[in-house]
Amino acid sequence: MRVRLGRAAGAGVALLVLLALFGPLLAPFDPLASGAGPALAPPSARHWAGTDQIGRDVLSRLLHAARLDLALALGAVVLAGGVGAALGTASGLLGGWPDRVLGRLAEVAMAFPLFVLALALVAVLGADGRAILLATAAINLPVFIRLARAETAARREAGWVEAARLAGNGPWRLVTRFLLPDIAPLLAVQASVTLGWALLNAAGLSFLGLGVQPPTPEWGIMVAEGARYLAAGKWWLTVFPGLALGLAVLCFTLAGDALRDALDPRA
Amino acid sequence: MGPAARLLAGLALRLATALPAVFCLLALTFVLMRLLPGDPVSLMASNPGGDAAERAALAARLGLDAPLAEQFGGWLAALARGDLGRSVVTGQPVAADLAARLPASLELTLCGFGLALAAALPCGLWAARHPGSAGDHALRLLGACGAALPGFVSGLMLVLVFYHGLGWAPDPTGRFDLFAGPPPRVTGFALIDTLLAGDTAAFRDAAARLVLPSLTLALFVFAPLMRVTRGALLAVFASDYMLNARALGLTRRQRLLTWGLGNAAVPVLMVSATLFGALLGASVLVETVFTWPGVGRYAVEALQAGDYAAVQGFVLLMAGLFVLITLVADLAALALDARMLPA
Repeated sequence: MRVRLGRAAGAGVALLVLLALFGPLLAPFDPLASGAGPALAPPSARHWAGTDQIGRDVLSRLLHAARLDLALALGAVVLAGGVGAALGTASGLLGGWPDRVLGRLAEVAMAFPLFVLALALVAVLGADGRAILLATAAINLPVFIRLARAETAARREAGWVEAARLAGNGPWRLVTRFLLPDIAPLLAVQASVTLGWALLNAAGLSFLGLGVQPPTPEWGIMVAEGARYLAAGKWWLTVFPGLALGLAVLCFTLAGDALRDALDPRA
Repeated sequence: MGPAARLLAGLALRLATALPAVFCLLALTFVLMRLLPGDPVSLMASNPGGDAAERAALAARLGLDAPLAEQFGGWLAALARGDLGRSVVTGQPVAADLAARLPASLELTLCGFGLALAAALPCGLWAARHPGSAGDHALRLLGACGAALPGFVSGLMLVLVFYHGLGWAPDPTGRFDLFAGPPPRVTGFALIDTLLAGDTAAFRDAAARLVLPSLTLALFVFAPLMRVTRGALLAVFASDYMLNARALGLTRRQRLLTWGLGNAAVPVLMVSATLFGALLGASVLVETVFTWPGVGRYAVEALQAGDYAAVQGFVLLMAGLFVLITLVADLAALALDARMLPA
C-alpha cells in the first residue's frame, strides 16, 4: 500500500515535470490573450477549465503557471539546499563553538513561524519572482543546515573518513569527494519534501499580492483573482488552480516520504 | 534540591538559551527595517533632490545620523517601553493597533488548534493500535491531502461548499453580524464577550462564524499532529515497561491510562508548540480569506501599503508569542518528565 502510494506520487512528480517543460506547448490558447472565449464561461468542450473575467482560457493559464510555480519552488530549494549543505558540512567538519552557535540558531529558526519572516523579506526585496525565490530559499535554509551539520558531525570520526584523511585528502577533497556524496541521498529526500513547502510558500505570497504580479499566470494569483467571482458561482476560477497546487504539493510530499522509506527502512 | 526548585532551575536554563535567539531576531528585524526601500529623510524633505543642510537637520532630528549601533540601542530602549512606532495607515501607535487585533487572531488560532487536537489524538491512538491496517493508510493519506492544500485554497473551498453551496455557514465577512455589531469589549474574545453580555443569539452567531476558519486551520495541522501521536504511542507500546504492566495483569485500558498516555505526551507536546507557531504564521492567509480582523490581516494590509513600522511590530509580536509558547511547552514537558530536569 505504502509502496503503491509512493509509486503513484513518483509518477505524479514525473508528470508535473513534463507539464512544466512542455505544458506551454500543449496550451490551446495564449494565456494572456483576452477574448479567447466569452468571459466567465463555465468548463466546456472548447475551454476545458472555463474562461476568466476577461475571457482568457483558464486551462492555458494553468499550464503556463505550472512552469513558473515549479521553477520558483525548484530554484528556491536548489539555492537553500546548496548553501545549506555547504554551510552545514563546513560547520559540522570544523566543529568548535561556531558550529554550536550555528546549530542552535538553525534549530531556533526552524521553529519560528517562518511564513512571517518570508512576508518581511518580500517587503524588503520587492514584489516579483526573484523576491519570492530568495525569500522562500531563505526560510528553508535552516532545515538544510541542520541536516548537513548533523550528518557530517556523525561521520566526522568514522573510520572511512579517518582513512580518507590519513590518505592525504585535504578538507576540501574530504567534503566534496567523501562526505557530500554520502550525505547526498538524505539531502535529496529533504529537498523533495521541501519542494512541497516551497510551492505552498511561493503561491501563498503571490495570493496575498506580494509576489508575482498579474497578469502573469501563477496558481496563487489565479486563486486570488478567482475568489472575487466565487460569490457569483464561478467556481472553476478558484477550484482548478487550487487543485493544481494541492495535487502538486501532495505529490512532492508523498514522493519524499516514499524516498525516505526506501533509503532508511528504520524510520 | 526539591522538585519545585529543580523545575525553576530547568526553566531558567531554557530561558537563558532562548535569549540569544531572541536577540538575533531583534537584530535581524532592525537590519531588515533599515534595508527597506523608502528613506524617511527623502520622504520628509521639502524637495526630492534635497538641499544637503535640510537633509542633515532632518536626519539629526530622526536620530539617523548616529552610528548604527547607537540607533539599535535607542530602538531597543523604545521597544522596552512598548513603543513600536506609529502606523502610517491607521495613524495609531502600532502597539495599540496590535493589542486591539490580537484577541481575534488568538481566538481563531486556539479554536483551530483545539479542533485539530480533538481529531488528531483519537485518530493517532486508533492508528497506533492498528498499524499497517487499511484505516491507518487511509488516515495517513487523508492527513497528507489536508496538509497539501494551502490554507487559502481549503478555506475558499469550504466557503464554496458550506456557504455558497449548502448555505449552512454564515457569510465569510469577519467575526460579527454586520448589522448587530460587536458586543461591548471586555476580553476581545468574541465567544467570551457575547456570553458576558448575556446575548446567546450573538454567541451562537460568533461561534458559527468561527467554524469554517477554524476548520481551515485545523486541516493544516491535523496530519503532523496525528503522525507524532501515532509514532509516540507506537514507541510506548513497544517499550519494556508496557510489557511489564501487561505482566502485572493490568487491562489494556489501565495500561494506557497509567503509563501509556503520560509517556507519549511529551513528544506530542513539543511538536504541538512548533505547530502552534506555524499556525500563527498560516493564519495570515486564512484571515485574508475570511476577512478576519486579526493581526495577520493587519500585517498584510500594512505590507501592501508599505507601512513598515506596522510590519515590524507584527514580526516582533509573532517572535514574542513564539518564545512564550516554547517556554510554556518546555515547562509542561519538564513537569511531565522529571528526566528532563537538570540534576
